[in-house]
Amino acid sequence: MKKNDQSLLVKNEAPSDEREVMLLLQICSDAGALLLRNGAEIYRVEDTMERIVRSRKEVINADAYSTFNVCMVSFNRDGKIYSDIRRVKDRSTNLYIVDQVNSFSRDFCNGKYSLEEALAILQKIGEGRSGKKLNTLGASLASAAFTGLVRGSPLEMLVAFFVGGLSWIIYMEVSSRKNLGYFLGNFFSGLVVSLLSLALTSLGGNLNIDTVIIGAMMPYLPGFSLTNAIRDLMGGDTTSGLTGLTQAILTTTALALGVALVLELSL
Amino acid sequence: MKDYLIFFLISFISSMGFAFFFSSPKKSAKWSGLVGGISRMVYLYVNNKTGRIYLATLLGAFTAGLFGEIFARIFHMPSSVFTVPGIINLCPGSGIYYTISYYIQGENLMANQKLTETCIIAGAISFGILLASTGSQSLNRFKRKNQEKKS
Repeated sequence: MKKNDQSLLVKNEAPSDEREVMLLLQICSDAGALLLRNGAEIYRVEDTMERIVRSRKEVINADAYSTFNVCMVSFNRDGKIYSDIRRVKDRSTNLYIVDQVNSFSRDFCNGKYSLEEALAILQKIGEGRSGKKLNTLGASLASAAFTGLVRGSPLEMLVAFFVGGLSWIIYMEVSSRKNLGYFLGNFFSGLVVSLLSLALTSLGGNLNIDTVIIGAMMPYLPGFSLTNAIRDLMGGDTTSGLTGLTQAILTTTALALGVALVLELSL
Repeated sequence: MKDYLIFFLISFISSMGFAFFFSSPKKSAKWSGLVGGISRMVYLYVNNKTGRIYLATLLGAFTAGLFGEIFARIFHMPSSVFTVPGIINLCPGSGIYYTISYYIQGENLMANQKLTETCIIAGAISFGILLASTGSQSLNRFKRKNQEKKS
């Protein structure tokens, strides 16, 4: 995937002094850390970092390595070796930022920005939009539609719409105040989803609680990280693949435990 | 036919919801929805024709991956922007739920059956995506080699 050095035609001038090399290094690891933090695949992180470094002349022995939560880069210029390590603690999913960094790296390699400009642009991308309202709307819509997919009635879809949105709001509020970690966090979200579904369906109207819970717990299922993990695994990044796979399984287990606790008590 | 139309609409909305949920770029949300709708159609069609749920899931995920790669080329975006919301409709959410609920009711046999089914479906989805993305990567390599020969 990435060892095609000849095909990357270097168009840009070499960094002129020490400061510029440092800027290049910083741009590279900033871009990598941003990608990793927002849920890009490992090969994309490595590929982007390597492309950014290699896009400048006189840089040799460029290597980038990334695992599930750390990315590092090192290269040699004029006999001096430069390297940088970034540790990424909390990974989440924000495809907007991944897309932005992706097009940034394409433009940067084509020599569209100077080094200072590039750093400023990356910073702006990182601050990015939070889009909490849109996320909540997405969670509600997805919950409602998924209830429909497992053949729930329109009324159940409506209930799932509210349960999905409300539980996401509660989850966001709690996790922004207390750092629960992914296992407890998912256990908690399982609890909230099933409690809310139980409360709303017991109001009456002969509703099926199964379809409501199935729909409303969809946003928490690790479909995204599972897909990424399998891709990493098959692409040769075995370490990150196994870590991601394990985390996906544990996340699902935590969610299931949360739902099971409430169901067990209610029976 | 009416059934297909309804499910297409629902999965379109579901995929679009997930696109919003993952904060994907705004202009790509409707295309993610389209990928989700098409992959669900393939899944339904194969499932109705052959009754094989694993094969249907595999083909559905492959379709989602394929369209994801195509749209990635057209719009110059990472393919996961389209693929991830697209496959979410095939995810075995109900399998996980029924596994839990059977275990709670003490029906271990049914629960184990559901668990296996869920795991195989998850595997089929991953494999389908993998097939599509591997095809695209080797196409990339082929293009690059051609360019090198020319230059």
